[in-house]
Amino acid sequence: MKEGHHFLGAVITDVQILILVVSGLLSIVLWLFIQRARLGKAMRAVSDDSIASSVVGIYPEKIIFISFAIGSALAGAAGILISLETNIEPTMGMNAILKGIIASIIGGIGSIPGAMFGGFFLGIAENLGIWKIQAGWKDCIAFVILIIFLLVRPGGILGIKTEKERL
Amino acid sequence: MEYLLHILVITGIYIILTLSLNLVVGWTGLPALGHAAFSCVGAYTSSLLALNYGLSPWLGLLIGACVAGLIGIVIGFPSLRLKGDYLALATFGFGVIVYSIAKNWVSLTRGPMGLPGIPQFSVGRFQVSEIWQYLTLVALFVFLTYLVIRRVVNSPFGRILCGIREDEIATLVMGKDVNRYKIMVFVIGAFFAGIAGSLYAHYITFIDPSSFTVMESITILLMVVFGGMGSLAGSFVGASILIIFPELLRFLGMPSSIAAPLRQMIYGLLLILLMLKRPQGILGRYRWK
Repeated sequence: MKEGHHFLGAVITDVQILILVVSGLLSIVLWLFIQRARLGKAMRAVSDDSIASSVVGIYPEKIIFISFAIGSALAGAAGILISLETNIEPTMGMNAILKGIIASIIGGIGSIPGAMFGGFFLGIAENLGIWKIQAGWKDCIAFVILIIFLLVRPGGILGIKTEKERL
Repeated sequence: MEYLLHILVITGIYIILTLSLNLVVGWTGLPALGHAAFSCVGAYTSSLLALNYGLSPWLGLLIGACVAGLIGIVIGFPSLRLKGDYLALATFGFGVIVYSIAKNWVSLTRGPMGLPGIPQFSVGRFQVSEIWQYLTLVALFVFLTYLVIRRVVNSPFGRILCGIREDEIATLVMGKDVNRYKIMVFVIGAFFAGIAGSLYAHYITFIDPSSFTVMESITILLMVVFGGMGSLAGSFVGASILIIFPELLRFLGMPSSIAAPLRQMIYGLLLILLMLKRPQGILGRYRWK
């Protein structure tokens, strides 16, 4: 692999730039899809109230299938991007899915900008934390943050207000 | 024979765990995923007391269970504010936190190296070292747990727990202090999980954090759901099947190169089939909402 580029005193490789660009692009496309596309709107309708959405002619089962397919495809893309940077193993998804859930709760469930923000927040908090204490406590830090958020602000930083009522 | 008895001892320990988790998950309807953390606390407390202070394992068992019960108050606290998936996630988080404390607090727990040479139970000068003696001891504890849990769920207290499961607001309107009952149920569950952990530690005589991962909590929850939520007999059936069945698959006579992965696959497939055909578990009446 080539030597990386120097950027504000840090080294960043071509592959890392690629990962950043592709993940940013995918997030924007997903956000637009959920906000603007018919199918995205249908998904939000099913998540809000599946019975009411079936009244207006949406098949909740079909929408759930499609959203599972899209979600799995995105997870697959994430896996490919990770495999460019680190080595892979069959159980690597477990940690990612946990951190993903934590990040989406911190950011606010049902909000794509929130999910991105939560992801950055969690990653930075974890790695700043192990700067001072041992690396073994990384998971511990993540879950302490999660529990604090669940108890103090269950809707997340950018979460929709109704989430609080549901809890 | 030795092997068979060993499996039975492990089954007994898991029955205690399953019964106590069933109280929280099946009767009260709180999805808790941190049960292995309680048994971790019980196991480490009683082993450390025995190793560092030479305390009798019997006393250690009791203290370990009480400490686990105290931790149960802490873990039960989020259940007052959170419901459903969020509570499952919060208790899952507590499981991870307890695991990483056990793994990283090296000066106390020796971390991943584990604690070897934990003394076994003894009555006077008579040591419980033979495996059949241990089986009797575990059976005794299983019986005790069964009696206590049965007494709890068949009492007015148990009816309030079912009330919390079926309709929390209605129970609140009846004038029951729902928060107090939720905490109490967590404490009872944690107490028995602590006993199970301590029994395990003094049986194997070696513990390390890897025995108490969150996957272990998921396995226990699986036993509860498999056997049937809110069913005493179901807990026995669930724990026994999920411990003994994978061992039976050992005797299918497959070549060893494919035996281990195939075992896992058959196991997973059976679980999916059961959940599709009978989501309330083998003996359960209550279905996960």
